[in-house]
Amino acid sequence: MSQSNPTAASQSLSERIFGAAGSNRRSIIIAYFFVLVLIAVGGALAPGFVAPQSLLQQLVLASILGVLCIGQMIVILTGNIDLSVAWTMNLCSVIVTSVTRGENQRVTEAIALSLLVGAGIGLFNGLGVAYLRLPSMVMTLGVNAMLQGVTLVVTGAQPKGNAPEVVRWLIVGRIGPIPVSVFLWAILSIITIFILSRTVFGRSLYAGGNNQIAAYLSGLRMQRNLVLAFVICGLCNALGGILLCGYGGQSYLSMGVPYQLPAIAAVVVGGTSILGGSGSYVGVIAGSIILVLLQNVLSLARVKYAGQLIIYGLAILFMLFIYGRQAADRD
Amino acid sequence: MKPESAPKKKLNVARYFRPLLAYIVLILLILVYRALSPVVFRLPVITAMLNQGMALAITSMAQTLVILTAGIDLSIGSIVTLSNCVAATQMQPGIAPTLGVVLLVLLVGSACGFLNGLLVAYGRLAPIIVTLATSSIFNGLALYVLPNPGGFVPEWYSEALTGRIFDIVPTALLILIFLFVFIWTPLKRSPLGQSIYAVGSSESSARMSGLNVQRTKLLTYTIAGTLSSMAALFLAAQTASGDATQGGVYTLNSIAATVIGGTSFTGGVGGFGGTLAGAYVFAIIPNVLFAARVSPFMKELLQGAILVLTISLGAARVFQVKNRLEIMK
Repeated sequence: MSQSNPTAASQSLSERIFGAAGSNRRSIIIAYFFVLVLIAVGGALAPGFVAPQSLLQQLVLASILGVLCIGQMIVILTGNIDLSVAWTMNLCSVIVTSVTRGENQRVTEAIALSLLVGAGIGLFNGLGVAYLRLPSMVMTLGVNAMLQGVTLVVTGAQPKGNAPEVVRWLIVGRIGPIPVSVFLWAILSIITIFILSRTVFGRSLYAGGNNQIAAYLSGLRMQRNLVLAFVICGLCNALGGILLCGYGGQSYLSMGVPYQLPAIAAVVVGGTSILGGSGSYVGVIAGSIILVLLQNVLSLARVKYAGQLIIYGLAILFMLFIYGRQAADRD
Repeated sequence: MKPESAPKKKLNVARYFRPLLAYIVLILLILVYRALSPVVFRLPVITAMLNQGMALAITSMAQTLVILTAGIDLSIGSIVTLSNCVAATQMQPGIAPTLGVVLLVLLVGSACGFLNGLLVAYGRLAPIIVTLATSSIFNGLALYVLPNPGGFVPEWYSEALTGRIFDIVPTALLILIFLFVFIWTPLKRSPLGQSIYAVGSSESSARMSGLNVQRTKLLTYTIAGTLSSMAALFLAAQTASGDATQGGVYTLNSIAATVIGGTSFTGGVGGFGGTLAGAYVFAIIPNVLFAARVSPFMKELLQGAILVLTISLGAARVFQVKNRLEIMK
């Protein structure tokens, strides 16, 4: 893949977590550098922006995107993509609000059901991609449309009910000084980094993304791993939907749509190759924060929505040019 | 004689199986529609149906070209939006200025496609993420051009494109024939068209055969941009206004139509013939649902299900393959 490619066994722990020395580590440093730049710009525009409370609020927003990125990154590592983020989130949020009807009584069942549905959607995607070998982009696109239909039919296009207190607490609550969702994100991040760097499953995702045939011939169970990757992604999308439900206090139609493309963009801005096989979640954390900060700094600078879209696109292209270019094919 | 001709025939069946499947689904849908609503084969209804699928058919042709090179264009919907907004804000009642605006709109679309092509071919960036980024840029530009839905489209322009010539032949039908006979067929047979297929089936082989891969990609994305703005011009005639949010659906629907029509997502196989059927399958579904008095909320559900089902049918060969390495990329 890259210039130096040490075998998995000879990599040190830090290399496994941050990626092999060289391009990967460079992209992480650049990504965190841009986080600092954006905070500095925000602080220059409005001194209140750099107050701890304000920054924690940014992290709460980033945590929703960050949770989605866990699943999206794992799928992208395998060389696939999940385009069913938007309506998986929406359906799972609708499940929470309609099962609980804003009361705390059945919140455990509601969240469990919601996560189960998310995992089921991921399983369906994964089976199609792994066993029927359907292109993931088309498969998840079709599933997304079906989920949109299901959500509309289930709710009659008018979702009812509010988020129960427990779900609201995920966003507004605090554990010590830290918002619950940020705490949750931190725990999930550690688990993700552990899985990706220390488990056979995690390493086989990288192996498969780099060279599917070599991974298969090495005896890795690639189809099972691919299904598992999509199931994890479905779970993360469901959790993202639950968090968004807590953030908005209710479910509404198309609530997940603004998260589909940022989820992919954050993974790529965080230094993960869209072609699969390389990247680290440490970078993706920065990617999620960058996208959230960028949006808020632009609003702070009173850039119109139209301008925000343009700068958003330019920023992604800019990051790509810094570290996303493919080597010239000179075979 | 027999052993020689047998394998050749088998190859052809395999080659046309997927597009054929799309046409079968389309015919089935039309038959269901006919059974539900007897007026289907009347001229105004046929015209309306042709009009309804036109913008999707044109954008799907754009998407087909890009997917044939093993790329993807996620900015097609945004190019449609931007072009549509430019058309709606610039158009004047007179004929000459309107034709000028048509040229301007085509130029805008081509420029957008050219930018995509430059970034993909010469910037060596992955098409999926490049077009994701540029789609955001084009959408932003569209909002600058036309912050609120509205604008002006001359009535004669709308009637000319969406009506019938001599009250008999729907203009949309002529446009489709024009697209197929005067754009798609010559393009496919041209050196550029052949390089598009070659680049899609194997980029490194194409390069080693002396084809200019980068130029091929640049031109493909540019043509896709031009076609997208043609779709926008038709859309402007159809809606008689501009709207900075209405083009978005064409990105994903054009991918769906292309894939239903049998164009391979890995590039090099397929064409506009099948895509056309795919586009009209997608466009007719809402009408059929309406005729069946089914809730319009089922539209997406059915569209998604048809997409997943048709590609699954095409995947049947996976179970016939003995050596798993053959089906890995």
